[in-house]
Amino acid sequence: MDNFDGELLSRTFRGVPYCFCFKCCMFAGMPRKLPSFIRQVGGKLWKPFAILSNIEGQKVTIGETFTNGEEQGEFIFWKRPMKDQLKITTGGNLPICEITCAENKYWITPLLSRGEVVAVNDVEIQDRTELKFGDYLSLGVPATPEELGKWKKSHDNFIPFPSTDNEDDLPGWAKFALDAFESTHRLVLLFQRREYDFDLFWKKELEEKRIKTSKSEGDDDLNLEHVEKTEAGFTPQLDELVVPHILSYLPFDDLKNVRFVSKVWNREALRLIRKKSYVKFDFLLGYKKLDDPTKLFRYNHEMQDNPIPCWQIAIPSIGLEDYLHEVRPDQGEKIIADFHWFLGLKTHSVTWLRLAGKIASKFDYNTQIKILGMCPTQTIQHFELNWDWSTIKASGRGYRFPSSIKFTNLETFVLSMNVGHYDVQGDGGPSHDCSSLTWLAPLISAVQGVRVLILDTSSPLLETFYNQATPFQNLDEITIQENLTPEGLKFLNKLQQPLTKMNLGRLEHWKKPQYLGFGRLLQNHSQTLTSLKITLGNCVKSNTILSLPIFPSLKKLHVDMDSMGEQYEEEKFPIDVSFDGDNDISYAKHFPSLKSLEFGYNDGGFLMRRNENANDYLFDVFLPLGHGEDGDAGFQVCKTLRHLDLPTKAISESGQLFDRLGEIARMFPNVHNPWINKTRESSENQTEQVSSD
Amino acid sequence: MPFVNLESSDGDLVKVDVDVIKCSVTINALIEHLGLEDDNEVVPLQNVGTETLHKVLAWAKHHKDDLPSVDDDEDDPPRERRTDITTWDANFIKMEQIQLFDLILAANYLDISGLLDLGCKIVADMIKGKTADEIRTMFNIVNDLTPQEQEQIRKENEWCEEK
Repeated sequence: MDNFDGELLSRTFRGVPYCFCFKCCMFAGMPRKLPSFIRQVGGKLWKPFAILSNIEGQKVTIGETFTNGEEQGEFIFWKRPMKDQLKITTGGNLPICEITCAENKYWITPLLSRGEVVAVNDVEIQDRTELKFGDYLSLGVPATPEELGKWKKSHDNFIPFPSTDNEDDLPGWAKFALDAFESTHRLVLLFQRREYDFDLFWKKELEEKRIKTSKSEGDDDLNLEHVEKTEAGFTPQLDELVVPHILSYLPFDDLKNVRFVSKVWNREALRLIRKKSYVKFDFLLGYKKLDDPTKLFRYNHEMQDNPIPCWQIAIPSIGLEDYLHEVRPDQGEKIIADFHWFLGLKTHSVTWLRLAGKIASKFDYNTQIKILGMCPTQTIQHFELNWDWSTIKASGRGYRFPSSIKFTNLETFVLSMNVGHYDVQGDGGPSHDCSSLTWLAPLISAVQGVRVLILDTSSPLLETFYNQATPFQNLDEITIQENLTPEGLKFLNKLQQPLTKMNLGRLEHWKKPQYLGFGRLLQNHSQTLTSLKITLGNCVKSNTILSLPIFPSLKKLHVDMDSMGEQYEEEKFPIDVSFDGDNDISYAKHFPSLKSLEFGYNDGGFLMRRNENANDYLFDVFLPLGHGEDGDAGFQVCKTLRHLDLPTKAISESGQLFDRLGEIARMFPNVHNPWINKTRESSENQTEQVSSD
Repeated sequence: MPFVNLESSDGDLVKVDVDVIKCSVTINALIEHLGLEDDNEVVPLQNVGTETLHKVLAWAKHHKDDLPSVDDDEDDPPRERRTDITTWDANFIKMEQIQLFDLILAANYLDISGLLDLGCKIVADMIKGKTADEIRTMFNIVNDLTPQEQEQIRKENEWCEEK
């Protein structure tokens, strides 16, 4: 077998959302494009079930209940059919088989035969048997036609079982049930040489690209694939000197691909990949290519030489209530044991950590905190708390955050939690009170030395955060992603350290005093700010003037208009903006260092209904071009700007800026991008036409 | 207006306006180091051939009024790393692959970041969406990875998700 890993695949069907969540399957719609990780073998579809690493002496047990690693080796869960009818005496949880790796071969040994069958290629096995690539493995009890009929009938009360023999015509829920071997009472698995998802994905990408290219051949306006291909050869000198520079312009998937070019390219691509990637130790339910419980074991084995320093740890909610908890306690026990084993192996070098998962009980919270405590918090520079907190089931009251968890090198803290409903109307509607989360204050205290703070959560938790926050003495950059409330403004105004980056979401429930306070805030940080994002406009109609100071160091400015809710469609720009007391903007005076300017928000038109005219106000204020018949009134030139991003709709032929693109191109002469280059070219052509006329 | 004489590796002398070639950190440093005051003094460029030097100068002349380039970080995602190329640059860079590589090497030696960026962006564009085999063929690269190393890369790639 030449040391190749093996993999077990289980049957799946077109239209099944490749997720183990029953809810998803209920809503599975029409058959759709197959993901790249779905394999087609023997005219049937298969999905990854488990990977069996080719490690001499390694044992993998397939069963229902994990006991311990020493006895069972690695453990793969399965659900035993007809359990109540099987006369299993030892607690009903015996494993069904074990697979071992010896002499570079895989061997399967049945562990229980009382009514259950372990078969290889439909032949029941009694003893240790070699498992070869291409073998079919079936586990469980053969179903009789009567049992199958009974099973279908049992579903009649719920949704009538479709009378079709064509698997592809079955609705999603039925496919899922078939998929979960309810109808056969056997789990059929295909054992083959491990295939790699990236290989399959990349092959598919390239095929799609080629089809697209062959279709679009001919409409080449600025095609850069015109370099003559001659026998030049990449000299070693060029390799060493510029390969890293060239690779830095490649998208992530291309970077993975060029690792196969040569040793030098592999080394340089890997260096970039390690900076740009993270590893997901994700055990949550959901859309995943592989629900493999052997993840941590395999990571330790496969990534010994090139470990990735950025991790996402996602731990499911553990318990017995189906609709509340994601995994059963016996599965949860294996996940916890794996993390404890893996984190206790050595001091891992981790610089970036996202801790995620659902908290639906104090047990879930304690599990997460214990695992966090075992993480190398001394080396972590970026820490993100990404919990989905069920405030109804987990009050948070009395939950402790241990003082032993210390982040000594933390640079960035991200609070990115979902805590329930959001009070969008500001009328005190559904929202959850987060003041009972007693662990928050000690957590804030543990991260208060950070330089970068990112708050990406909704108002109830933010309010609690602001109330409990102690001063962030070293803060240099802040992002408040969703909403900036008056409390949030107070929090910002308490910051003493001059900030260089401020990225603020929509201003929520603001009145005149807040706008005045906001003006003061910007004034306080105006000398040091190099990056600013603000979202103007809110629900309150007033004639407030927002006074923006001169920003001598600002390099990056992003201004968005708040246009949430259709009731505001007719609303005029509710506040005016002044620039250091002037009514009109002067880039040279007010933004003398500006290099990047972005307006609006390209939402692709699917996130929410937005008032398309809202951006008009932005354009009027920040692009003061001549509108009248006399042309260039207010025209100015900003030479420092290098990057300009405008909403795609606004610059399209039907967009409100389309007629002004020429002026914008003259206003920002050092901006080069496809649409502005095209605008300049067409202006030059027109000029040439006029002169030749 | 001050001029400087650049001597290519082929031994040809090219007289150039200092203002044009100020984009080259290497030449600036040489001028400063050698203390060139006389227009007749020569700056030797041992790694740049005449043909390539003329191309470099054509690019430098067109871009002489450009602002200093914005410092992009290689860690930035590609959409942040600006890959926009002007029409003039796109036409300029239409050349044979061997000339392109010479130009990239010259830009690297002369430390002209704008030209180096342009060359590297073009090569990156040539690489995008190709198989490793195609890339090796395109650039005459020998595959020195063993099958075991390739299998290991496959395993490692499976773990890496883009941030």
